[in-house]
Amino acid sequence: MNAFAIAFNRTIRVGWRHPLDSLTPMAFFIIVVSLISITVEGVSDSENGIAIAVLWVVLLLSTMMASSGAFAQDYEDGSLEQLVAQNESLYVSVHGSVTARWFISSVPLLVLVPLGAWMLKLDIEVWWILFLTLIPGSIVFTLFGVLGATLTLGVGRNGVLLALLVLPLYIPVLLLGVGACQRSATEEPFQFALIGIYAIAMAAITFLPFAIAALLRVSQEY
Amino acid sequence: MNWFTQTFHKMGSPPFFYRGAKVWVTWLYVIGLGSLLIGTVWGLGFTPADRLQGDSFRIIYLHVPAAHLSQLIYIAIAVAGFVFLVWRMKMADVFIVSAVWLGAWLTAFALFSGIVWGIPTWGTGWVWDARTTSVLVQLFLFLGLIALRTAIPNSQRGALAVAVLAIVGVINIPIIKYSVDWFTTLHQPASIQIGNPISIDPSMLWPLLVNTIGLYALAAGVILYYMRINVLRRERNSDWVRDIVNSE
Repeated sequence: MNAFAIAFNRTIRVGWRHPLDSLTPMAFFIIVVSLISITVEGVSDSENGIAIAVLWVVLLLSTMMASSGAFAQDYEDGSLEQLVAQNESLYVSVHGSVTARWFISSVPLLVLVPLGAWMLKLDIEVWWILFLTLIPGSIVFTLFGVLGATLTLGVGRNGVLLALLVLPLYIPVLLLGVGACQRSATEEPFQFALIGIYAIAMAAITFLPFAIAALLRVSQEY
Repeated sequence: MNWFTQTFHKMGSPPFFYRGAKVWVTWLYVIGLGSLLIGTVWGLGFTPADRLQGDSFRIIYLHVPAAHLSQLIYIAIAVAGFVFLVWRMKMADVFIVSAVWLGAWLTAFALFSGIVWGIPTWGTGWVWDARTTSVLVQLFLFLGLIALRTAIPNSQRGALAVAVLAIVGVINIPIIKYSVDWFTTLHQPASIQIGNPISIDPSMLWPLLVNTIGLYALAAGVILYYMRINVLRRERNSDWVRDIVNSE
């Protein structure tokens, strides 16, 4: 097995044995969407604009929550040290681990998006563009979330700090994604935003694992 | 070129930097405060009022230099972060720690002066368009760098983490820079661009240039001043600091 598959399998298995790590963000997603549906009047009859924005922001927050625990357990029990020490190709291992984390944390949330869209009375014509943008969007959110988690490894009570570090980095993708969906809903041209979000996703997939791998090394050196 | 690499290597040495920067701080303060005084008095008192905006356009003399400089400081921090990651030069981290607060304040000032300017000219202090939002993101990035640095107790590790975060955050800079050209926003495109004729009258331009030079010089002076303090604090156990303290 190569480094990618080893890291992927391991992260999936650990995630499978700690189902609460995936279920808690899912519950969070549903609760926040229902809070907004209950309290904000007119969410359902505002030509989809607010509903799209709500779904994006809530998915963003849940993904950040879900990826905040990345590598924390490995850091505590020393298996991260082994991963770094094997030093074969940490970049590839990080890729495997982040891909697995996307399956653990983002895919369950994406499965919930239709339920959220139904709760917010989003027109069914908008669903396809929502998914077309949410898939690359959630990949970027996961990568930045894991980056934030590695930045704050070993820092106690890192939740608020993580939000401060990661949320500004989310904003360009959020704007592009919401922009593409809303433009599509009002039948304006949205290709620019759609291409932009895929371009950012490609760049993030390529470069961010370098940064994550560098930070993992640093966390073991000092 | 040989001279340049030599100076570059020498600047990496704390005692050399500490002694060499002293003269620079004084001169940069003098030039910076002097030019700011001249440019501001000139701009506020002696330039004609704008045909469309009246006197409110005079905020340009502080808003534009502050906004531009804050962005430059972010890029400089990211470059220093790269230098620190690759060569592990101590002075690069000293620069980051000394410059990050100034960058945050300048960004906040650029936003504030923009709001003050927007109320009479746009009719609203704040719009959620690409330029204002991306500058706000830059403020958050600065605050994130500060928070991360203070949260990590191990100094070397904190420095490396801050360097990585600064480099990743650079993606925001082209978004700020080109937001007025790519998207339709209320914010006007830049009046002074390399390669294009300058679309601003010379009588209004000169005070702006003087103020820009002044603010840049002052900022460089302030950063060097704090770098000297931080160098002393970090090297407090070394011989050369002891010599300086004993001789004074």
